[in-house]
Amino acid sequence: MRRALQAATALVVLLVLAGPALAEAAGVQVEVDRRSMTTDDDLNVEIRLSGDFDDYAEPTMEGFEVAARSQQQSIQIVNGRMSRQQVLSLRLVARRTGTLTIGSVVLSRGGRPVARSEPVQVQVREPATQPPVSADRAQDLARNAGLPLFLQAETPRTHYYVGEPFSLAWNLYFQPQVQVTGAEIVNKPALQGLLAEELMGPDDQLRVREKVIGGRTYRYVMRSLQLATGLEAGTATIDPMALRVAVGDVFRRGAQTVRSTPFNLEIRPVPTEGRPKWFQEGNVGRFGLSGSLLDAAGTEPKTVQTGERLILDVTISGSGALLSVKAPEVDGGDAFDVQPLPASGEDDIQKDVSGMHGKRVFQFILVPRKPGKQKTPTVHFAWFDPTAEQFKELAWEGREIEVTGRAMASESQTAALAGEDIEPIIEGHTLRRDERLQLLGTPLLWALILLPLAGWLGTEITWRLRARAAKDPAKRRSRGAHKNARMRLGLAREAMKAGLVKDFYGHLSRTLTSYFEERANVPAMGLTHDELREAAGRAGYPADLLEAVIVELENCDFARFAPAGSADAQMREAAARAQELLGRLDRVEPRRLP
Amino acid sequence: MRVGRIGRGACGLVLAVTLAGLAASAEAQPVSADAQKAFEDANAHYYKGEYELAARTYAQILSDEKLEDPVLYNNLGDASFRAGAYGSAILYYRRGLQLEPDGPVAQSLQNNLEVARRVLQDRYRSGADKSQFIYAEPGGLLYQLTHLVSVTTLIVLFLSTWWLALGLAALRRWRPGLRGLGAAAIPVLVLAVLFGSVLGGRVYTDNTFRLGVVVEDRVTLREGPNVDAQGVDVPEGMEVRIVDGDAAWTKVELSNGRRGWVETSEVKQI
Repeated sequence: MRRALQAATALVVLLVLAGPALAEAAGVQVEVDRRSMTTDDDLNVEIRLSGDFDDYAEPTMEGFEVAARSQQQSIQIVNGRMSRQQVLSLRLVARRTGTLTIGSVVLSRGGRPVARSEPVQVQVREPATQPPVSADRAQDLARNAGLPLFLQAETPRTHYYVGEPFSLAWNLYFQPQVQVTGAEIVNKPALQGLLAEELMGPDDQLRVREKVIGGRTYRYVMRSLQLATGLEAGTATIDPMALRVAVGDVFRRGAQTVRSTPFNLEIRPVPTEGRPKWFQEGNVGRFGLSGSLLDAAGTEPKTVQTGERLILDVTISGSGALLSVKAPEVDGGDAFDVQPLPASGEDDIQKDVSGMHGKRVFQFILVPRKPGKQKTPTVHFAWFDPTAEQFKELAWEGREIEVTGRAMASESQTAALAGEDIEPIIEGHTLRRDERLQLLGTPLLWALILLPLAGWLGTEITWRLRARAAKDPAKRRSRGAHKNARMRLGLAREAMKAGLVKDFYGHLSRTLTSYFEERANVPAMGLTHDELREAAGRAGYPADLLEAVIVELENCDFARFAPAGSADAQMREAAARAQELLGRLDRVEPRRLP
Repeated sequence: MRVGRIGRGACGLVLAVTLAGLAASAEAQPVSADAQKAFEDANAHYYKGEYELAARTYAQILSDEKLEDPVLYNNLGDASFRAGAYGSAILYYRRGLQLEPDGPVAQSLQNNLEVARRVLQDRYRSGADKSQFIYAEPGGLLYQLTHLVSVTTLIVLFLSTWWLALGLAALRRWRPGLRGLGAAAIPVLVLAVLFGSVLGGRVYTDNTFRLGVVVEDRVTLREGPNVDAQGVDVPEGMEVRIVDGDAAWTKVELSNGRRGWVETSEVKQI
């Protein structure tokens, strides 16, 4: 389409070979035909680009959809400089309500912007809602006579019964002079309270028909056909459907949104009074009943053996809720075993503008059990006729047949007679819970999976740590220095509690000196304080920290050799100082001396 | 050295406790005296011909006691069969067989299942063809592979190889003098991973591949989950695969691949 439009666009090139005229400056102008609209309306936008530019960026149009576009263009070259005149026409449809903005159009030359339009704001609102009218009024086509184009929701009656399927068609009517080229559904009715099924597929051909309305000839196409069923008694509202209709021809096109008139349908309950004995819920429509009884050879039986199978076909035909029609009850009494058969495949149900119609075939197997002259079961079928608004019933009379042979038992007894019976129940059994391992999904199973894994991982980690420690005993000792120092400090505190002053200071002194030995391989026990200061300094301990340690060691020496003067308070303070010093020493990363 | 002995002692203790737990879980748990009496009462109802009452009583024991007893399923299946509920009978026999009972009980369940199926074959004129009652393609190759042996056997195989493999790997560190332990652990570990994968596959297929039995007489397989959707009738007793569902509707697949919806009350998971 775009190519066709472009082909239709006049391209005019004027070559001016001489003349001192200057090239025109670039400019852009955006015009809209309205600033306020509904989601049913179209917005026509004209973008005029002019002057010297080599590219342009289209505006952002969030919330809009481009329904159609066309453009016209002319190019001038003045003194070797190109100048364009371009008109871009857009037809936009709003997809939401609110204030929608058409952004700026930007013209550029050589990759640089040279002109920009102002953004345009448009108010978009929902179209005015129409209150639903009565079904009678909505169905009256004559009220629309004179309109060039309208959408009509149509259904055969003004009221239906719960469970009764009916058609709902949306027809687009237009006068012959209106050229309709497309009709897109933009809003489908919700049909609350109805079970609805769309019968038209996306590929279905739209057939144009004619009808005279109010003395005028109209053409119409069916755009949507639904088969609906009222789920409960009350009022069901048929909401409006919105169609965007494309009108015009290749050269001149337009679009228009049309809506059907909403209306109310009455859904009545199936009467509870006067229901026949054979009526089953869901049997609503206009039906007929027929039947046939055949033997295995496909002929009507006259004489049969007990145990011989006969096929009873019951056909319910007509229009209405065929899908929910229940199989008639067939009572074989004690003369016949009756078993319904699965679907025969002979059902034939059609859904169209006249609703649901066709036939359902129910099959039963009859097995004569008693010899003698027997009458096959009579089939009764009852339904509610919504047109006549009354219950109806029909019966298919059973056939007289002669049954020969021995009397037979019922279904399970037949199996037993054939030597196939279930084994007796098991008695004397003590009930038990499941004896199998109930492990799946239990925490015990996970424990049994994870425990050996954890054990193996633990073993592996321990082994690797030990192997690493065995490779470098000095480093291991270094790592153990802190732990050992805490242990010795603990011994000192125990001595303090026991009042053993000499032992306390001895442990305290060893705590500090051993720490140096283990951490930095400084043999502090055999060194004077000066030698300790010098060796520990070489290991990287700061001088002020070493000074504090040596002061504490001297305090210990003094207190050890003059213990009488040492009080509990002094010992606690000494222990606290030693602990604080250990903390500071831990923060140093020393070099281990050789 | 002392720590090592303690560690080995702790491991031994954990192993002993675990095995004791395993043994305890395998031991049959007793049921209440009331349940046992109800079972005897249900048997009495059965012999008096009160099959529906017997079936209700058996079913009550199942739901009250959360029992999974194959004999109880066998008797419940029998009572359902005698009451004419052949679909339910098939369901209970299948559930009983799923518990992998011993010889005589398994034999009884299997025989009864065959008889119930034959009654329905007879009803639906399928002759000797019972294929329509059995879901023929139980889950494809993965299902077949993971159901070659019972869950119990799989668990025992997996756990024993798993413990052995990791035990050998750990013993390699405890007893470095013993050569070849690491090499021996590798094939055992491969076996453990294999058994573990099969066990995982079994859990997966059991959770995703659920079979059910049609337990009602007149069931329509509909194209959608509503009573107005078109459909075909499916016979009572038919095995179906449960694909999806909620409290009202269940999506099932027949053995021939046809899918549809049935009312949830009409089909029960095995």
